[in-house]
Amino acid sequence: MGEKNLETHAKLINGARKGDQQSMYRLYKLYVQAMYNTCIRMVSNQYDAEDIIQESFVKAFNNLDSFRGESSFGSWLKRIVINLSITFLRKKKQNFLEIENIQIPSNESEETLPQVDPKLVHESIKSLPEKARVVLNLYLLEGYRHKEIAEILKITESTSKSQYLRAKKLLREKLKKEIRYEY
Amino acid sequence: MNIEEFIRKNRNQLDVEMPDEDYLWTGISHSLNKKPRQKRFLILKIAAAVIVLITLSVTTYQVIFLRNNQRLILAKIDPDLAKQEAQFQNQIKTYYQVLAATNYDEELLTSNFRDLEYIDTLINKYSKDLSKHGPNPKLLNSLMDLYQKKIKLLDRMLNEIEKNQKYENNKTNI
Repeated sequence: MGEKNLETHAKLINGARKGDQQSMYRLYKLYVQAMYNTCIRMVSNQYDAEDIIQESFVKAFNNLDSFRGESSFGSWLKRIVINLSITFLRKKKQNFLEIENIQIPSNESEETLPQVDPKLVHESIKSLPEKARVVLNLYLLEGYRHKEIAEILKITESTSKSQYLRAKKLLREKLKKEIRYEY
Repeated sequence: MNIEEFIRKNRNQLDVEMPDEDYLWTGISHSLNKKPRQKRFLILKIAAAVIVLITLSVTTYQVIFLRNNQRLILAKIDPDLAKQEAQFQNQIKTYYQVLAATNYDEELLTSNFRDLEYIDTLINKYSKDLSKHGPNPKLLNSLMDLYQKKIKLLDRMLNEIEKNQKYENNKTNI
């Protein structure tokens, strides 16, 4: 982000902090698509994602005083989105503790992949089983470490790793299948 | 390129879905506008509570003030009535002393003594009511009335005794 962009960003955040809805709207427009895509990959349902995104922005705008600028606004907002998505999945009685510790040889995921459409990857991630999907999203797309994922989901680090390997395997199989179908 | 590398390299291109931004913003702005309303509602609630508190205070003040006023009114009535009662009681005491000094015929005054007893019962009852229900002007007036009736009755009794004595004297003289 350029210096000018950073300045504009800071102005928007200050404006939103003062309750200026125009500043809030501009921040919303800047981040809504990225947040929505992160959320929908987590919860895999358009309507649930819409609810969570609305709740996330409202929560962010109402709690802007707690945003100290230690991380970027986008990272701070994404953390809210991810936390609310996990809370939502928990409410759905999704018990992450029940995730089985599946042993998958890690070399399986080293297989090369032909060029694929990112849209296809996105859709394939959404179609993964919930437990595997959440771990893959957090680790591979959002940059969380397995230790952090284990803390957030209240699972062991090794379960997080196993679920990640399982997710990768399933994703690869799905993509292969889709590519075969396409060509 | 394996799947991990592909996703990491193309991370930004994975955000392919376009949300219904207007629809989402409508919900967000609606929720954001709710907050001031809630604040306003809170202010209204506080204002209502203050009004209730003021009303209660005024009512309490008025009740206390009126009670004090009543006490003041009764206090104004009371000294006179108390003075009057003391006078009546002194008169009654004098009548009884005179009565005791006379050599009266008990049989002749039986009904009068019964009336006196009845008046005393009522005086006791009214006195108890006064101590129970507080100073009531009507009750005080009734009490004063009973004292007057008692005095009249004692006066009549003494007259009777006097008349009787005169009659006895005349009879002796004859």
